[in-house]
Amino acid sequence: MRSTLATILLAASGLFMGTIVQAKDVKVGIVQSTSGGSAALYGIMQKNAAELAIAEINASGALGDIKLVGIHQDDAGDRGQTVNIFQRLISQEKVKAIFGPTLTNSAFAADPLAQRAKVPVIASSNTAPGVTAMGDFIFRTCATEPMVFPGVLDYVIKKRAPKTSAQIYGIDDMLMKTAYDVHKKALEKAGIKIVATETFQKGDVDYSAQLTKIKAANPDIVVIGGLAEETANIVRQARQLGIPASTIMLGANAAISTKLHDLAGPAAEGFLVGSGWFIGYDSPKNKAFVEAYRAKYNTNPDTFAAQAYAAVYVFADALKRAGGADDPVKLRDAIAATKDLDTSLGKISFDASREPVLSAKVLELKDGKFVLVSGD
Amino acid sequence: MIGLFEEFLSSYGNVVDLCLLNILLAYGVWLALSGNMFTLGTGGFMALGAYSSVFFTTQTGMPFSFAVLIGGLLAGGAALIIGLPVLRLRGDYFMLATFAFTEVVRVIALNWESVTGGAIGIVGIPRYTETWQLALLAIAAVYFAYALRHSHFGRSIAAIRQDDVMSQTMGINVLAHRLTLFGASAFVCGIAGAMAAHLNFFIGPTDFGLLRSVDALSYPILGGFNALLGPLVGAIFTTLLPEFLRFSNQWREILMGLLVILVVLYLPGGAMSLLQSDRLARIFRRRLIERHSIEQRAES
Repeated sequence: MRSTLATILLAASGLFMGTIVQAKDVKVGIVQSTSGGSAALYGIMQKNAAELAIAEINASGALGDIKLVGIHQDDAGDRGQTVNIFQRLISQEKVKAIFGPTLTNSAFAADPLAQRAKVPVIASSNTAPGVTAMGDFIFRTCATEPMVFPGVLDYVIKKRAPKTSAQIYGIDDMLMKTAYDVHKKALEKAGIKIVATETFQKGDVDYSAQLTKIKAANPDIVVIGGLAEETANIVRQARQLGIPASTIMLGANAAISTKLHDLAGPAAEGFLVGSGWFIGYDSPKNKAFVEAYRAKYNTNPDTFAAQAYAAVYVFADALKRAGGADDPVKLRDAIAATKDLDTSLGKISFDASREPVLSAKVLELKDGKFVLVSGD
Repeated sequence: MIGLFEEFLSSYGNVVDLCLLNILLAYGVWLALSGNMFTLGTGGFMALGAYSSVFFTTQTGMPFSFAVLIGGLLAGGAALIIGLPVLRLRGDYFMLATFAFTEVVRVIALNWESVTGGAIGIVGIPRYTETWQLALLAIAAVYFAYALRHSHFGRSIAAIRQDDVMSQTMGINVLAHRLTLFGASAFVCGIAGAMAAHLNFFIGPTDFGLLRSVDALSYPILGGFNALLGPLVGAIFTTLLPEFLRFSNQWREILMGLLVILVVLYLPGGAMSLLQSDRLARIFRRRLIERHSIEQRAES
């Protein structure tokens, strides 16, 4: 028994041993779920993109003799593990910044540790409200629903002048619940009457009951607070039930996915959504990113990948301006001072509450592809 | 030495906290299991303890210790109320009823926005839970289990586990015993929920679902249900495993699943049975006997 224990302890110390680093290396943590169900869908893309950005920055020599060393750790979408990882990265690996975590729930549990230790966190997929309010070391590069939805609504108002709307959203999903609140507020502000509000739960595939009620209310627009798969099903079933094409469907930021067209088919034509990024975004930085990502991983990047990629570039730029990572406050100030940095998302800055300032892009699904209809 | 210890805690403090918390939970579930109650209500009881304690500490400014106690009592009270009808059910039906309870609590947490924050959950909960408190509770749980096993009540429970009809005829009030155990189990789970809520700044309805209940069930079963320290070993094993396997990335879930299957297959008495020196011999012997009896049955 004693020898078994000793072996286990030995193995443990070996596993937990820090990476050996050179004097000018700056270690950064990448906390993304690469296992653990649906969280991994978002986590793997972000991890890939962050590692791609680190490799590019190191190869370019833009940071002089400083080399970024990314340490990826998988939290399996489990909040307890996220906290474990943050503790270890901060106390043992002494990372200078953390990119992540994948899920907002994890962020609420783990970010306060980084805040207390003065380690900047740059999230690229925590879109719920209140994330950056946790402290002045918490930043994010992801466009949030309040940033993108008003643009989409403005576009619809200009085009169609809708009078009535219906809302349908996932009541048991944090992201969708917050999206619903944002949509509702924007609709009320625009003076559009909400004639029906319906809900669904994760895993639902049949929305005919809710859509029949919405059809009876005959709204000019339908605002959907759902993930890509859910939204696709809702759009398809709505058209099948006879909600006419003149009723425009608007979606939440999280619904952006090529899957939408694959699942909904022609029914999704004219579907509108707002985003901080889309794959066809026409800028040299973005084209280079998409190409490099495809070349390295043989697949298309998604919005979260683009936001994670931009997060690393934001950090590298701040690191350069701060002249190194030795002073955490100076580094934080440099990140906060980011101004119109050209990234894969376009020009990015941070506002006073460390939220990203980006151009919101209004996208319409045309012939199976998202195309830009408004925004730059 | 103290410096070393502090350094360890700053890197692995949360791992230690989670281990202790899960030990507490493991003994909570063990209480129910020892009365042959295969409960999936753990998540629901934890949620009761968590949400109510957070309500009391953040909304009414009640001291943490009282809030935790009330959380535990509420969970225990709920168990007594649902226990009366539910405990008349056996086996699968009891399991389904407790599962339904966990689901009901989850759905209430999703919809009662003014108290629970709905799907968004409650953010910014002050961190009151300290490692020493968790350690104390875990020690108390182990001691309680030890005392129970050696008490008259414990012997009655053991008899009920063997054969409840026979126990009833011998004058043991089976329903009362089970109800007490179920209530005590929920009380411990409620306390664990309250401690968990004040550990990591945030709670949401997804924290206390079916998954949590199943995880909690696996602690005493993996560790060894019959040994006093079985639940403790199971809780530590299950909590540390993902940390040890982190290097393996995508392989991790497969490895974890494999290990669990191996334990269940080759250590049916749980990991604690490893400590028994003649274990291998016994497993071998049991195999022989099983084969023998199968052969006999085939012949007859």
